[in-house]
Amino acid sequence: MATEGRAPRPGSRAPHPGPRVTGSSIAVYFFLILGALACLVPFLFMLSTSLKTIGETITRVSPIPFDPEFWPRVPQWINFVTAWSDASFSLYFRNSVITAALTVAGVIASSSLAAYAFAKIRFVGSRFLFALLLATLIIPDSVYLIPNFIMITRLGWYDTLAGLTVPFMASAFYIFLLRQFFSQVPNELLESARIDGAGHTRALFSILLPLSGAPLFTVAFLAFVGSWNSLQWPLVATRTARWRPITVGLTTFISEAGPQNQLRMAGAVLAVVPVVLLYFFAQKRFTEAIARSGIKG
Amino acid sequence: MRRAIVLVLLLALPLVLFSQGKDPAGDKSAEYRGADPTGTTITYWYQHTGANGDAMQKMIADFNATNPWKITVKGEYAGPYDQIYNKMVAAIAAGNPPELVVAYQNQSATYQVNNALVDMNVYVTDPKWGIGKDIGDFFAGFINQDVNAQFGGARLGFPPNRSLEVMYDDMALLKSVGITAPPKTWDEFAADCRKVTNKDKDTYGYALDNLDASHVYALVISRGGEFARPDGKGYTLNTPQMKASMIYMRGLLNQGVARKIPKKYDDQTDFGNGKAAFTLSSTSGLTFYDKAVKANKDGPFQWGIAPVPQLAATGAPAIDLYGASMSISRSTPQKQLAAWLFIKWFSEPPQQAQWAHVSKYFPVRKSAEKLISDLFDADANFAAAWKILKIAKLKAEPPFAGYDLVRDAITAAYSKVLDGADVDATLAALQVQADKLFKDSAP
Repeated sequence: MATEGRAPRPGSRAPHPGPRVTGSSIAVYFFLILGALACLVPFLFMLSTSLKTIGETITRVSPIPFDPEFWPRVPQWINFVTAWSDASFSLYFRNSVITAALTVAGVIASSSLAAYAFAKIRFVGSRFLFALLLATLIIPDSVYLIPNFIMITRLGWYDTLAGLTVPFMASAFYIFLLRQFFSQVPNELLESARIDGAGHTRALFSILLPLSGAPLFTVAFLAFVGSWNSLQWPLVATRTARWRPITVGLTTFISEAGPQNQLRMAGAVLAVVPVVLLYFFAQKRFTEAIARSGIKG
Repeated sequence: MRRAIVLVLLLALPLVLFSQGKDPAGDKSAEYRGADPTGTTITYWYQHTGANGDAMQKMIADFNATNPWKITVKGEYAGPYDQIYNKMVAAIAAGNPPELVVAYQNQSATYQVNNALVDMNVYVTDPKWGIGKDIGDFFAGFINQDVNAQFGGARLGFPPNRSLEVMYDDMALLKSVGITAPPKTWDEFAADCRKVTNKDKDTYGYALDNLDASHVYALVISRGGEFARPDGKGYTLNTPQMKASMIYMRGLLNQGVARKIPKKYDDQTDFGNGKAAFTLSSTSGLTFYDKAVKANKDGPFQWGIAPVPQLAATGAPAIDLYGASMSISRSTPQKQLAAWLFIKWFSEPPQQAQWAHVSKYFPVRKSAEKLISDLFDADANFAAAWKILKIAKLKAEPPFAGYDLVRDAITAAYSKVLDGADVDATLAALQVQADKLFKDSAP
């Protein structure tokens, strides 16, 4: 190469020595790799089961990927075709995408507006209202089932897209998450905008939201996953396949006598692909937002 | 989590209904008299999927096309049982349940705590619309299962089909150690378990499923016990039969001739791999066992089913009945009658035979036997199961409201005892817990 043997120029940085390998860093990497493998095994199990015959799902079972019993003798790719066609997956898939997208849009709109109010507007009782909002986080989801159902029924939303999405377009947790981030943005920035004639709406849309890409993405991602994975509410709130999501499709592979695990797992692989892809392309923003919001898992 | 959901729903439903000002007494006399079901449309929530779901839809279409009243049934898959239960509780609270719903007996009891169902005795015994003399053609154990003592003998459901708890036995493994027939008593069962257990070959006797209270019930009734008082006024869980059942199974575990399964259906895995000689399971699993045996890496082996072992070899074996029923929600007299007419049609022998051919569930009518003779010819184990049905003393688990939670308590107590807990103290605590749940869930 042309640069070989050339001395560093004056003022330039010395070559990076590379990470120092110490005993503790080896231990850290060991446990991280172990953790990564532990997270990977369920995915591999799902994949391998999706390629087995139904008999193999019963008799050829092992929790260890290195064990040949973990894998099918002959991969049954047809399971994916069967799962897709038997459970009307194309319809359910479309429904899941639409439901999740609408829910995400609603969550982003309602959460950002509420978070802005709690973070940047002084009004009487704001602290009390915020505490009240946080208190709703301790109420289990199952408690909302009957009131939500009565509400959507009386609004004529039973078995409609509105019934599946509107009740989940507002969330105390997402408001809290965004409010934490908005609070960190200096008030001086907003005040100078206000001097230039910007109102609250302009301040939110032109200053705060453009600065909040990472937390907004995190909220969107979590809302998407929550909507994508929900099962109980879609079953309760629908009576036909018209708007039922992919999770309902997966239940059709469970019968009273037992599950058709090979089809259930093939369906699960199909269902999980969009979520994995989404996370794959946006994981940097996701972790960045979690770090900046000060929330720890 | 499931426990929390059930409890929340159970407690929330009466509050919601109370707030809506509903009359809990209802008017039973006006439910059907003078009703004309002509042209009525009703909705039926069921749990069937796959081939069963397709067959159910076809049968519903047949009914819709042929019934003289032009009743239209709209069959809807409403999820698995637990989800149907959640959905139904919410629908009752909202005032729009389906006219017809699949329900286990304890689930229908929970609905009836809120007076949401119809006592179907008025239809069964009606001179015009009822069963009439055909009532004798039904297996008594099947149709009596839905008569609920907790509600003064109200019939809260009607069975579309049933299955049984049986013992699956690996005859090849048994024969390899000189055993030629499945055990009939618990003493024989223990002896056979010891004989087949071989550490070198990794074979053992019984794949013990401690995750399902129904298996505990099967053990208890085989010793002459019961889970509930006959008058329907409470549970009987701290009994000598319960104690003997748990100590017996703990003994087998301690001897190493039985193994607890780590998760549901792992007993099928060990059975299919030729490791476990016995499992206890429903006849509805016959197809899965068949597939498991056929997938054995050394090729299929000889297997069969037999009655669950009993205390003594003589007399009819006491066998646990499985299966949900169809329940009718309170609506209008026309819709209620239409729902009943669909149930009655479904229970007729030709429909029962048609359903059995697809689902492999047992028909509820004795006269359907001749219509399913081809099934007996094709599947020796199905034929064996039918024989067991005809000789058995059929028993059913308590149909009490809130029994779901008691089932959880029973499996927890069973696991504790198997792990070495004091059986007397555990069963005493279980009884107290069950009594409280009974009281909390009572109508």
